[in-house]
Amino acid sequence: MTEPSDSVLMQRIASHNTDALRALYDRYGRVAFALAYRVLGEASAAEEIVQDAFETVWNKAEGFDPGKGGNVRGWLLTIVHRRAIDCRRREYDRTPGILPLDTMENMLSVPDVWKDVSAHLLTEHVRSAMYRLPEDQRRAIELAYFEGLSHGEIAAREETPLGTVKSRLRLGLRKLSDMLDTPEQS
Amino acid sequence: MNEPSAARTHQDAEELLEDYVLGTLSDTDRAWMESHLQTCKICQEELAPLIGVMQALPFAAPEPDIQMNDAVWGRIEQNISRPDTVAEDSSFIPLKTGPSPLEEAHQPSLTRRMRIPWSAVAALMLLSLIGGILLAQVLPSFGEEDIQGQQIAIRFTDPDITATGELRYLPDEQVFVLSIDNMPAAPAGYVYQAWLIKGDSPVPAGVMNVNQGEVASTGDRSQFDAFAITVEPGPFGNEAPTSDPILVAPLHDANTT
Repeated sequence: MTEPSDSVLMQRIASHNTDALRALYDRYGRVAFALAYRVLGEASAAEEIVQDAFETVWNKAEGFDPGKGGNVRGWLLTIVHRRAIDCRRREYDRTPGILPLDTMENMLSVPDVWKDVSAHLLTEHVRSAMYRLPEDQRRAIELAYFEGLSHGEIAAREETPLGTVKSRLRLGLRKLSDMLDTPEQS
Repeated sequence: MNEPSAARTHQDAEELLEDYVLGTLSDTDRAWMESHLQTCKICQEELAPLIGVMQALPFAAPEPDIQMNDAVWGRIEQNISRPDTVAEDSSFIPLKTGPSPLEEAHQPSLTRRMRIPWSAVAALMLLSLIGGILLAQVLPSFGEEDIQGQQIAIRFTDPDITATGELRYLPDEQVFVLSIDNMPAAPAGYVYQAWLIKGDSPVPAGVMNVNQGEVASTGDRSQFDAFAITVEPGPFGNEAPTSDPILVAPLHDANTT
């Protein structure tokens, strides 16, 4: 029996179907927790982020428009990532922020290029691609994405010129984009 | 990069693109990028493949050495099954039925039990300005637009708050920057949240960093009637305000440049 798509689940969630939210939670709760835990390094804080993200999905589901290229997984994990980074920044007394959901349109208007790939396969594929990056580029991406460091902060942490950090990030992201677009070559 | 008042170019946006998708920009820079992306086709095309990477990066997180507590789903289920507390009349923003967190901590004089439309806040502010009875901190505001943006008068609704500050609007970037000195700490578990208000509809506009006393909010000034700050549950604030504004600023009055 075919599993309902993310968009179908969202339509059911919009009709206040708790089972549909549970299905989405079963599908992405684990990766959401892994992401928040990687950012925060603390289980209870990561769980709060996951809880908040799924409650946000519940509360905002009625405004979700699959016709606009709605990307449920991207939306959910962007919420988790941004809020975990915000939480981490507050912990270190740095600039906090909030990502209003209506400013995510740039992120959501791009279709989910991974929609036909299961979370398990995507995990293997992405980790493999990350490993194939030069170590300095991989580390720059990890510091920026998982630890929320700016270019300047990465430069200070790594004792590396700012321009070098920018180049590593730019090159790393472009290479990653190329590798992820051609999974059959991996 | 943190030069909200300087004129910015497409080249600046290209420099910020990676930081933008990685989520490492300051609020001000992020707001400017959002604004730039709405009109720049080149940046939109550059952004698309990077967003594909961003969609994939969460899956690069290593498997945690600890499992998520089974109780998380139980908490979610409990919270989403609560009765809807939003007012039936959506043109009214429900104000709290008891003292706000700030009132409980500092200002019992603000306690009241009522609901008011947000458009009334803007209207009252405007009338107060016209009548010259506003106790606002009207900022010096002449001849600085090119460098520092437009200055907008702000007013704390509680006279017990002695903080001072300013609200500036950067028209090129369409960013509001509120800077407050000596802002009292929000009560434990709460934050100061900014709102841009059109008619009866407040739009979330960011959470203030009390340590820096700043919040940057993106929005076209001509599309909103007022800017306000309320106290909301932390750390992320709310999708709709649940308390009375502690600071208000009408966006269409004669005391701005």
